Amino acid sequence: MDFLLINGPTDAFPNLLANKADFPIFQDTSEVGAWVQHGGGKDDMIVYNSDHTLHAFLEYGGSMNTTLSTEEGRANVKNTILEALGALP
Amino acid sequence: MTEHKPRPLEATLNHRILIPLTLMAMMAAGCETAELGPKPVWAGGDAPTISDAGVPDTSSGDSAVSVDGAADTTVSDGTSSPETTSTDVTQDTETTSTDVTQDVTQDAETTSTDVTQDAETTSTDVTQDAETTSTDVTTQDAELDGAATDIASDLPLEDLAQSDAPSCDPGSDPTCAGALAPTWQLENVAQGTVGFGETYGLEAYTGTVTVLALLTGG
Repeated sequence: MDFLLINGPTDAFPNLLANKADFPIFQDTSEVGAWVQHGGGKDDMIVYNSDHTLHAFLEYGGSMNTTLSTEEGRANVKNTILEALGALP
Repeated sequence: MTEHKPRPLEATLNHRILIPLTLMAMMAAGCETAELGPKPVWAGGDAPTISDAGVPDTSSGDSAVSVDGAADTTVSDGTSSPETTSTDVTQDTETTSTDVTQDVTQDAETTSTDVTQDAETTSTDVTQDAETTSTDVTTQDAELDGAATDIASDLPLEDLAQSDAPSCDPGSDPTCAGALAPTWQLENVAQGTVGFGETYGLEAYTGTVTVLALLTGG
C-alpha cells in the first residue's frame, strides 16, 4: 500500500509539511488543479484500488467520521483501507 | 190528464245537490270543523270567523241558532228551530261534518295520492340522481385508479427503485466509486523520499492500493 499527500495549491508555506513526512508529498498548483481533478478539498481522503479505480472517497465532515484525532475516525479510515486491500476481517 | 202526485221536498232534492248546499251553508255560517281541513279562501273578502258566528258561545244560544238553522235549512226540513238543544246541534253538525268529511277525505285522498305520486316521482328522481352521482363518483374513482395504474405502469419497478437511489456517475464524478484516478503530474516535494524533486503522477503506484490525502501545511 502506498500513502501519498497532495498539498494544497494555495499553501504559502509548503516546506512546513514537506519536512515532516517520510512519504511523497505532491505540491498542487492552480495550473494543474489536482484537488479539482479529485473533486475534493482540504482534509479529504481518497482510497484507490490496486487498479486505481476509486474505492472510497472519505469527505471530511461527511457521513463518515474521518477525524484521525478520534478513535472512531481512525477506525473508520483503517477499516476502509483494509476493505480496499481485501483484508477486512 | 196526467196525475200529478206531490212529492216531499226530500225526494226532489238529490243527495248530490244537498251536500254542496250544506257545505255552502256551513261556510256562510262560518262553521269550521277539524275535518274540513284548511280554511277556504274567500274571493269576496275575508272569510267569516268562528268568533263572528259566535259558535263557541253555546250558553248564549245564538250560535246554536245559527248553526242549527243553517243545517236544518239544507239538511232537514228547511225550517229553523231556535230552541234546538245543544244535542241537536251536535248531531246536525256531526251529520254534516260526516258528509263533508267524506268529500274532504276523498279530496284529501286524491290530493294525498297526487302528493304521493309526486313524492314517489320526486324520490325516484332523487334516487336516479343519487345513483347517477354515485355512478359518476365511482367512474371518477375508477378513472383515478386507472390513472394511478397508468402512472405505475409507465415505469418498471426496477426503474422506480433506481430513481430513488442517488445518481452517481463515475465517468463524470471523480468521487463516485469506480471512478478512474486522475492523471495529474506534480512535483514530489517531500525531502528524503524516493522521487524527491521529480514530477510524476499516480501511474507510478499502479498495482497497489493507494491512499491519498488532501492537506495543507500552512
